[in-house]
Amino acid sequence: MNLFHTGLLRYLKPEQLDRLRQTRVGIAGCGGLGSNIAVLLTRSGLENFILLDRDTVEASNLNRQFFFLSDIGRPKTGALTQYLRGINPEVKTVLFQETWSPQNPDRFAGCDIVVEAFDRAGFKKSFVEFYQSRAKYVISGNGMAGYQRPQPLAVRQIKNIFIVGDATTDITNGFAPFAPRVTACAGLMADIALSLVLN
Amino acid sequence: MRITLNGKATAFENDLLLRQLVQNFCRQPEHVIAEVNGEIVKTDHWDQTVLKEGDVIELVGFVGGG
Repeated sequence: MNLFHTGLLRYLKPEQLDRLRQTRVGIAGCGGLGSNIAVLLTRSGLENFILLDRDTVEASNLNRQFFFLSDIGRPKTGALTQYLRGINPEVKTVLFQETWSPQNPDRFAGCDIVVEAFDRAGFKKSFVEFYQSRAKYVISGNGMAGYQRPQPLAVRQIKNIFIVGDATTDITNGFAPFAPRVTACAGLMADIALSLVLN
Repeated sequence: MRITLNGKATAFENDLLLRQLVQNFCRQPEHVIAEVNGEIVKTDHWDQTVLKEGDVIELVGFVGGG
């Protein structure tokens, strides 16, 4: 129990905090969705993460991802771990700086919840198909780009899978990603994860 | 044969495989997951999945961004 936990107990019962601290979440992709989801879940009391992302931070990431100018060139998984521990020093992360493939060893085995936060649609499909029978819950992001009177963000549930987004705004088809909508989608996805742990 | 496709009643004259349905209705099948009667059917099984009268099918297309 650290000072951060003490603060959280204003809002959570001790048994709820225990449950959050024991839950392991896998985050596949630490970009606009994944980095923000990790921060939101850390603030909510989760502290056990497996983070997978092949990339280093680039200047073009800073319009929406939870990184800073001084992070440019750093692996995203490592930089993110530093910020999560800045909120809660007891955060434990297992890091994989690699490309996800269903042919690789399963990096998210043992996770209670896996979050799909890749940018490419082909990866999203393969990941959801792969984990729908392996993970207890899968939360996937689908359409969160653009601005100005966008399509509403919706949650579609298929059994243990939650697909969040507008299913329309495609970054490869005329929509650029911007912080307000990307973080709104990250917030919805994190809220689903939180409710799955606490309910 | 009548099925419900993404919430709409849809009729077909001939038998249909799930793969044919996806290819007819989706521009990018490589970005689509298919749910048949509440279960995800993986892409590897689309060729063996023959649609039946009354099936409820949801095709969900992923778009890029994350």
